[in-house]
Amino acid sequence: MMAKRQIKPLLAVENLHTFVPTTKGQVHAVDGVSFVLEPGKTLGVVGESGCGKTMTAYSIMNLLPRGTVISPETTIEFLGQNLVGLPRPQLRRILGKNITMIFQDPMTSLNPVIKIGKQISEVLVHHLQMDKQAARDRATELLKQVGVPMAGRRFNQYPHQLSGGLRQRVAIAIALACEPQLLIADEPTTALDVTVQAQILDLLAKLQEKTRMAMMLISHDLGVVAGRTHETAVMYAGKIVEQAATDELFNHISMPYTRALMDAIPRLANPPHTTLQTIGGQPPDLIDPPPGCRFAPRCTRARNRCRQQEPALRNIQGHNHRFACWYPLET
Amino acid sequence: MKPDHTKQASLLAVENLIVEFGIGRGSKIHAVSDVSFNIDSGETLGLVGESGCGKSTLARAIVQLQRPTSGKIWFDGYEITDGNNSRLRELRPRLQMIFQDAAASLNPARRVGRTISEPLRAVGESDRRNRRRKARALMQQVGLDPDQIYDRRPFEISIGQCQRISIARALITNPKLLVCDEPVSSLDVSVQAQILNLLERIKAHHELTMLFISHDLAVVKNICDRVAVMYMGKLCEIADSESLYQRPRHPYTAVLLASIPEISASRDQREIELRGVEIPSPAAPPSGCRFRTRCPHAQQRCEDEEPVLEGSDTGSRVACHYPLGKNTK
Repeated sequence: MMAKRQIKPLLAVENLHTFVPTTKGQVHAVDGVSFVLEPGKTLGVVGESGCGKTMTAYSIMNLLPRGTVISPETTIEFLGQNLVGLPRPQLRRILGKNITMIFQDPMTSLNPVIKIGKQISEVLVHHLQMDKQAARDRATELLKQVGVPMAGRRFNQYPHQLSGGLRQRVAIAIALACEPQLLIADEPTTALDVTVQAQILDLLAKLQEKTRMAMMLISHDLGVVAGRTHETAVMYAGKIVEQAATDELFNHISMPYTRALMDAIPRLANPPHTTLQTIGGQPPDLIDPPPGCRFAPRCTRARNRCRQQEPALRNIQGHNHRFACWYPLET
Repeated sequence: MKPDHTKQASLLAVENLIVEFGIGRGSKIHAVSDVSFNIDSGETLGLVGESGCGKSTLARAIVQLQRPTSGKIWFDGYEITDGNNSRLRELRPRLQMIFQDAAASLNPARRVGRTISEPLRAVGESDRRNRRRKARALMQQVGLDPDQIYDRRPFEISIGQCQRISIARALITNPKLLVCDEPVSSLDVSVQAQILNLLERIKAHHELTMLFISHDLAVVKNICDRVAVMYMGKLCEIADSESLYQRPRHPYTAVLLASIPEISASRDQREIELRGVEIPSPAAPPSGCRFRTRCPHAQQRCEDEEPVLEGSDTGSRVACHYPLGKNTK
């Protein structure tokens, strides 16, 4: 791990609370999430469906569903400017330009009736005020850069004429068009095959190295996050429950949930017919979460204190390894 | 109508199976091209490959949801592709399938208990109470509480529970072969682990033979005795799980294995060699070996001559002119 340096954070999320309205009540989807991200660094966010990882990204990108409320005490600072409550015209100058996002399903994130070349160049025209011809040249160049073969010909094709891997490359080209300082990638390779997944992740790493952009890589796949990030945050029931430098985290897992998640993964090293470890029960109801640690009802190590008192995310012994657990695993 | 004894050692035998789909203007998608393999009684065979390689079409052809263009399938000693419908009807209850999207494969308007018991009507169980009793017993076997779940509808229960329901429904006709098409792909890892353990348990309990399809090689390794690798409608390699993962012989198998993101220290040492980004169109597959356009080891012969799936004494078979590990001593 690197020694402490004074680098101004690119993004500082402080105490993020996001409430999503449903017919049954308000879901506390993101519950007090804080983290910082420095230029050139990648933060991995892992967790199971419904843990709030995508809602965290949507809160930053201002893409929340209608009626969703971000708590007034939340700050999302991008280069020192708080994005929460920023007027729309100002937000629009940042989002899609300085902060961009790629989504899980490249079929639905692209417009099916607009040629892919146009979808890239319109970003350039809008944000960088390029003229049409310049935008066109730059878009073709971007397509080449993300490894789309025959970029000139592809320029005039529609999304349905491209394979899933190529469509995701186009989505990446759009996201990178204005050379963003922060890229949020929400399950960018989940819909893709393993060989394509490896290529896309390699591509993102290569581009990141070139431009020093920061990245937030959201995935349910711990394998993807383990190999591709500097820092990892594990989320459960709307909260970050463990966070550390990626190597440190995977080598010294402290939070029982992270351990349970790891043990549930089928490993290549296992002989055939290995019985997998499972996590009993289900994640808590986020409309009315129970007191104490949210994982306590499913945790094999839970004691009375866990059910009554909620553990805060704490740092021990200056290790820069934070976890929210009263009785962490020995490492 | 006697069973064919030459095919009796295996529960399922697929021979030269071809499935093609016309896509207009005389062109065809070659979804499954001349595939042959067996599954022995009590065995779990894994089938891996990337999207569009034909693994689901192959599965559908086996359970006769899709009529093959040509080729033969024997099940339990009988040929089921000879057009004898009355025999097929007799055999079908022994041949069941579960699907990737469990919630979508259940009737949304029907209570799940009824969904489980329904196949019994098709096999002639006319007593409603009997059907209900069997369905409840199976629910318990798959880890669901019948008192709580029996009268629910699919949207009221979790996706993991939906997959348990579809497993129970598949089991109610006492099948011999269970075809699982990506049964855990849309599940979270903790639920995935539960379903995989459940499949292992019911397999032992019901003495099942399984064909397990997945794009996730680690999942397949954990549940299968043997694994077949498919690329563009062809089998590239078939071998027992352990040796396939330790000594892949087909370059495509090696690429697939190297692509798996693993949480381990040595991970980044593995170099992924792959020429060309795109998988060729299945309407116009490359001549010779279909993988040659992306294969790092392809030579002229791979273009001219199609490699056949050839066996070694250990039972593993590979379709490659220049299989890996041949020269390493």
